[in-house]
Parts: sequence; structure tokens; C-alpha cells
Amino acid sequence: MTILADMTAVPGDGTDWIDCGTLDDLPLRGARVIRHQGGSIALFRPAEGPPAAIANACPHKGGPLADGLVHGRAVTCPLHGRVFSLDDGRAAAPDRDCVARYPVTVSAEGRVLVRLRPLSPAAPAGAGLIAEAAE
Amino acid sequence: MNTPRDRILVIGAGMAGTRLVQELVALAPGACDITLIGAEPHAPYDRIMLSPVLAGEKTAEAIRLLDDDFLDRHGVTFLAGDAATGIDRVARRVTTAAGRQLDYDRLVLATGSQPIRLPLPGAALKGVVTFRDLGDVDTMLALGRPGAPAVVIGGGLLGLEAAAGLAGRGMKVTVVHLAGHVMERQLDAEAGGMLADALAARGITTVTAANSRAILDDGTGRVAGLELADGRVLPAELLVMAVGIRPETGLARAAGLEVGRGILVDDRLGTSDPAIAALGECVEFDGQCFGLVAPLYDQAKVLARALAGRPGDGFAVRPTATRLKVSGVDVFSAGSLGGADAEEITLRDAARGSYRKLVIRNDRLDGVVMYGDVADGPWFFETMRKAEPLGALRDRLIFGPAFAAGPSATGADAATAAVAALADDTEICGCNGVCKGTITAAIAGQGLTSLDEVRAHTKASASCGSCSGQVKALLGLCLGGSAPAEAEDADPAICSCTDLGHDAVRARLGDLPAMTAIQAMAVLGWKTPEGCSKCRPALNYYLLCAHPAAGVDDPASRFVNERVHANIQKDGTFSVVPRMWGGLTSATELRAIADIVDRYDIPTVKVTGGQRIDLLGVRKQDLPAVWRDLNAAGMVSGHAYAKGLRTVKTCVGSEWCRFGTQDSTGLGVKLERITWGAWMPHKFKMAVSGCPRNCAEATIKDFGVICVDSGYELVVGGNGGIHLRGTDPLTKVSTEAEVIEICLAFIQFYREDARYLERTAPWIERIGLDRVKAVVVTDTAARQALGARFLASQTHARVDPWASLAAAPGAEFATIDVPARRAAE
Repeated sequence: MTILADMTAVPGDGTDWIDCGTLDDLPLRGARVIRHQGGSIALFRPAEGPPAAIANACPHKGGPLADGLVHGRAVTCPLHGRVFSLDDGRAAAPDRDCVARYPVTVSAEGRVLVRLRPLSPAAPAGAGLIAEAAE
Repeated sequence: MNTPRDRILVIGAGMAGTRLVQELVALAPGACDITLIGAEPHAPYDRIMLSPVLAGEKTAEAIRLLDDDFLDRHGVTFLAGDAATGIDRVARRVTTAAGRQLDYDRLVLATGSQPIRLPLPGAALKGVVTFRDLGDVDTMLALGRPGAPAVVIGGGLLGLEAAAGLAGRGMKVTVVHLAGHVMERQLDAEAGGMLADALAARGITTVTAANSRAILDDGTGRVAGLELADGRVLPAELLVMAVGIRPETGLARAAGLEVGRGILVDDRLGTSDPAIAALGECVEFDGQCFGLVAPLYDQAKVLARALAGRPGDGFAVRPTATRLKVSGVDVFSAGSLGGADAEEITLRDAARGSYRKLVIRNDRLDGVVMYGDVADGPWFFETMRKAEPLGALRDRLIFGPAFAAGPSATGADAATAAVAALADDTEICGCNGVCKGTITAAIAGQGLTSLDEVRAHTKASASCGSCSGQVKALLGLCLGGSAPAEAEDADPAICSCTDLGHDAVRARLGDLPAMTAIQAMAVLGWKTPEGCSKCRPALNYYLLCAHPAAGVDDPASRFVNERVHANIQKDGTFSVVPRMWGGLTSATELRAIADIVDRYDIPTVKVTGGQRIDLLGVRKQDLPAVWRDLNAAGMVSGHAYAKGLRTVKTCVGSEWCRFGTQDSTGLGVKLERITWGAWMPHKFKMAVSGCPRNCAEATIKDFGVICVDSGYELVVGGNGGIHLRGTDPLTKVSTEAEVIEICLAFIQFYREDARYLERTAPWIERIGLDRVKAVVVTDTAARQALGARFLASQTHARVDPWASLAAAPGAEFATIDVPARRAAE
């Protein structure tokens, strides 16, 4: 079962933002997988705060993080239990791994948009959440 | 005290310059006035870890080498983002790009190297980058996008790490390499071929024996692809040149120092100017330049001693081992690759993707190439460096230290003696690949004192726990007499989200009305609003068990397997096991399964140990359709993923077997029909054997029945698994009705009394068999009450979860697919 996403013209350079439907299309305290050429992204809907997108592969053994248990704004990898923050992409101590984060915004029409270009690992914790539709 | 301190100026804050500063302050704290200057705007970082940063697996901060605290503590001045531009050797003064004038008594050049840029047409296009520093990583991240093609020129160590990093970001990477196989300086053709296969599995294509001709322009000044000499064109939005490095000698040359390929140094790292030393990738020693980190660290040690005026050996080139830093692809290589006068011993396990080759010259180990299982690499390397005659060891050498080493001495404690005898590189935890040395270093370095702390910091024994004994022995060994006795708390806290133990939580929940796990956390004063993956499934179960009819079950509080009613596999696909009552199936079911395997392209079909059929490798988005088709053929979920009733294994019994005493198959089917769908603290397996020959292996099940002429022997608390435990005899009864009554009471007692994730074996050992017997055998009223509660609960549980999910699959089963990039873009 797949849904073909629309490439959308907002915001930014008009090629990389993809429309992932409305918030209600995402499972509460769960995630959906965005498949792109060469990999996949996990788009989460935590109970508190905005949705968040991270690479759907745990750096430990490649576990699909979208299938993990979501608690607060963190997810536990379903394969071996590593915990990642959805906001800064970092593993909980004492692990020092991190996963790539992708910018997410909710448009004025309520569409959840995810940008395919990952954030720099050095970007601060809230950098993935873009409040306005302009960059 | 009052003598002026030597002013030492280190130019270059890379791996070599940074390590020198660390060595120097460790050797002679406060003795020198140290200034470290680096052209990059960042604090010193571990360049070896650039690939994980590129892949998004590590942060830039996580690879930092020196923190501010270190610099403050040792009074080291660090100037970032400023490059030295000139050296006045007479005045002993360095000028910088920012206009600084830095005087020195001793100058150290650690200027490193420059990546080689091939002079190909188009080399100046936007999108053509090298892979050398964090700035390059940021450039690649800004220009790369998932799904877009990238080309890496160079299939050496650096090129493959760049390729892995880009593939980790979802790019489609092609590695173009001049030689016949990748990493040809470190690997023989066979290991190189295995490596290329492993890279292919990660979406990295390798093109070997390929010569680049030109970099193509997309018409706007950006790279569009790479044209090879044979005319092939590889599309690329990003092109990485990783063909090698060249020592950075510009500053030294301009200052008139003697320079060959690199800055010429002697074995004390001195240059032709006695006040100037050099180390790292910028130097040339004895005709050699250096690109790996081990000799750089050796140089830092030698130079620190020289600067501090301490005696010691000079620098000498030692053999170096190479490891590829790409997670999941393990390559180890050291020494010679072989040759005409060498003997070679190889061990190849194609199924496990493992290969090792030893090169032996004059009865000494002269080289080792390993692919796949590389845990023994450091031991081989040490054997090679010792260069002792192998003698009789030669026959067993290839099998590694476990077989090559002789029997160990025995001490007072056999477990401690055994673990003490192991080499540091011996793997202790097979689940997480943690070696002895890693564990002992963590215990010593981080001051760990308990098994839980070791688990948190090293992951050793954090998965299956079968190595807990060895890890405990290591703790004892490291801590000596100070090893704390493992406190066996009566009811330890569930996890760090609460101070309450399982039993306490259960007792408190019993007084509360029906609610969800997250609501219960608020009521019970949890420290985290939504708990964690340990406590939330436990609370969800306790509430479900206490209020079976209230609908408190929350799928988001369950592990993925119970949420999507299938077993997650290592690659993220799932396995599907339909129920086969008592192990019985039919032509109709088998035909339907065969059709489903074809229809959904299911790669593996396997018979399980529980007498059912496992369909492995089903994509998550196909699960609802697979269930729908299994339902259509009359099959329901086998709950092979559940903390709950799994299987009832049977033999054919008196229906067919010449030794059978009762209808074991029929009884097994009856038990399964009554108990299926029940959620429990952990998985629960049953078996019914038709005679004491016990073909259904009932004596290693949670509840087992062994039929005899005079009735049924009931046994409980067995399991296979990590700690094999045979069952305890519970009682003997004479009718099937009594078997069923005791079985239901036993299950309900386990459901209501055991802690979440506690199987019947440890549960019975904790509470004692006598208590179980008293409740489910001796006390008739208690037994009947338990049975009644179980049956009441089962009226809500005997529902096929596949049918409801197939009818209305949740959003998580649907992927969002991004179409391929439009050609015009």
C-alpha cells in the first residue's frame, strides 16, 4: 500500500519539499515512512509538539526507526533499543551516535511538508522545525 | 619557577598537531607555553570519523578531540580559523593571514596534507569536491540530496568512506577506481571482491579498471556527470575526488627548509633548522610519507619527548594495520599481501561472508587480510609485530586466538580465571560485538561498578544476557576486592522512569479504575510523561490483564511486533506465521500459502520449531494484503510475535503412532482453541506428547502434557533458549477435562502473578514450585476461580488481529513514495 507524494512548490527552492498529507494522516505516537531513491525517512507524530523527520535507519545496525516505540519526543529503535531524540537526532547517553534530521513544516493549509535535504549535523536542536513557509 | 618557559608554537590543529599537544602536556605539565594554530574554523576533531558525520550517524561535536576545559586547564592558547603565512627563521616569528605575529622558541609544523585534485576538464565546476575536512562535509550536505546520483573517484580507504557517507544520506553512489579491485593496497583481489559485493548491497556501485576522462557541465556551471575513457558517462550531481593526498609543504619550502616529497625529518622529527620540528602527513622520513593515524601518533610521542628534553627511542616505521571505518562492512589488513616467496593460508566462509588470509614468510607471520569477521585482527597484528617463529602454532593459527592459545591456568574461580586468560580483543558479547578490552577499559576509565552500568556504557550483555556471567567476572577482575555483591532487590524499579517495581505497580493498579498506560503514569507519579520502551509495554499489559473488557490496550504502547502482528527482521521486513492448530495443516492451507508466497514475492519459507510455517521477508506495506489472503483461506494469526500463547506442539499420538497412549494431537488442538489470543507476561509455549518418548518435547515447554496409559502427567516451567531449563512435575491427572482445568488455572496464575517479560521458568524459581502447586493443584476453589477469570478474559481475546487490521489498516502501513526526480531538473 503506497501513496505517491506530490513534489510541492513551497517553501524554499521548490524541488525538495514533499507533501506528506495532513497531521491526521500520521499515526499518533507513531510514524510513517517516506521512501525516496536510495533510502527512507521516518516522519513522526509525537503527542506533544510538532511532527519531526529523521533518517529511518539506526546507525547501529540499520534498524527502521519508524517502527520504534515513541515516548515523549524520542523513539526507541525496534532492533536493539537505542534511543534517539526527534529534535536533535542524538542518541541518549552514553551512546554518541546520531541520525540525520530533515526539516519539517506544517503549511497554512495544514499540510505536513518534509524537505529531502538533510540538516547539517551541527544544526541546533530546533533547526528541523521551520515555523514559516519562507526560509 | 622563574625561568621563562619555552614558547612552543604548533602550526596545524589536525590529528598530529593535536596529539602532540596532548602528549606534551601529559609528559611535562606546565613546562611550556603552548600555542596551537589551525586554519580550519573548528576546534580540533577526529578526522577519521568524517564518514559517520557525513552519513549523519555522528555529530560534529561527538568527534571533537579537545574541549575548552582541556585548553584552559593546561593553559594552551588555541587560535582557530587563522593560517600561518610565513616563517621568519632568524627572528623566530610566524606571521598569519589575520595579521598576527607569533614569536616562538620552538616551532612545530603539522601542516598535514592537501587532497589531490585530478586535472580533469571540468574540475572547477560547482559540485566537484574533495573529502578532507568538516567544511567538505558541509559542502557535500548542501549539494547532495537523497536519491540523486554521486560519483566518487578513488576506491581507496578515503574514497570508500566518502561513498559510504553519501550512501548513508540516501545518495546513489558510484565509485570509480583505476585498479582492478578496490583498496588494492590493503586487500587481495578476493577480499576486494567481497568488499565490492557488500558495498553493492548498500547501494554503492563500483566501477573498477576505469579511467576518468572529463567532468561534464550541466550547462549552468554545475557538475552533471563523469565521462570515462571508454566513453561511458556516469551521471552525478556531486563528484568527490578521493584519489590521494600530497604533503602540504608550501610554508616549509618558502622558509627554506629542506623538502623532498614532504618536509625532511630525522628520527627525532627535527628539520634542517634545529628550532623547527615537523610531524604528521606533511613530513618525509626515510623516503616515506604517512597517511594513516598510527605512525602519526608514534611521531607525536617521540616529538613530545624531544621537546620536553626527555630521553627515549627515536621514531621508526612500524607495520600498520588498516581498518575500513564503514559500519557493517568489516575489513582488516596489515603487512604484506603475499608474493612469490610467501606461503598463504586462507579460510573462507562464503555463507557468512567471511574471509581471512595469512601471509607467512620464514615461519613468521608477515601479513593478514580479513574480511567479515575481523574480531581476531588485533591478535594477528600483535603476532605479526612480535615476529617470533610460529613453529607448531602454524597449524592452528588461522583459527585465531581461541584455538591457537594453549590451555589457561586455573585459579580459585574458574569463570574469573577463564575470562582473565582471554586476550583483550576477544569478543565477549556476541550480540553487540563488544570485546574484552573495551569492557575493561570502560570499567577502568569510567569508574563502572555494576553490571547495569557496564551494559549502559558498552552494550555488553545488554541484549540476550548470555554473557552476563563473563561480564560480572570481568567486573570482579577489574575491581578486585571492591567488586560489589549484586544486590538482589526484592522488587527492583521497572526502569529509570519510576522508583516503583513491577509488583508495586501491579498492586497500585489493582486499586485504580481502567485507564491507559500513559494515564496510569500520570496517576502513579512517573518521572517521564510517556515512559520508555521498557515501562510502557509493561503497564499496558498489567492494565489489559486487570481490565480485559475495558479496551485499554494501546497499540502505541506495544513493541512493533505486537503492534503490527508480525515479527520484525534485521532488514526491517517482517515474518508472518499463520496458526496451525496443534501443528495440523491441510492441502487447502498449503496451496493458499504457496499462492501467497508467489503473489507477494516472499523470499523465504521456513518450517518453525513450533510446527508451523514462517513466511519471511514480507514488506510492511504488504502485511495487510498477506493477512487478507491468509484469512480468506481460513487461517488466523499464529501470534508468533506475541508475549502470549505461541504454539501447542503435538505428536501424532494414539491416532497413528504404535506407541501412542492418548489422542495427543486432539488434546493439543483443544488446548490451543481455548487459549489462543491470550496476552501474557512473556511468550508461552505448550506441548502434548502421546507417550513418555516425548516427541513433542513437552519437558522444555511452559506447560507440557505427557500422556501415559493411566492418564496425563503435567509439567511446567521449562524452556529452551539461553538458559535451558527442564520442566518441574506439577501433578498427574486421569482425564482431558482435568488437564484443561489445570492448564487454564496455571496460565491465569502466571498472567496475574509474574512480572512483565518474566517467563515461567524464572517466575517459578522466584516464587517456588510449592506455591504454584498450592494454588493450581491443591486449592480447588482457587483453581476454579483462576480458570473462570481466564475464560472471561478469553471472550475478548480470541479475536484474529489480522482480520481487523486487514479490513482497516492503520496509517503506519502506508509508505509515502517520492517519485524519481524529473529529468528537467
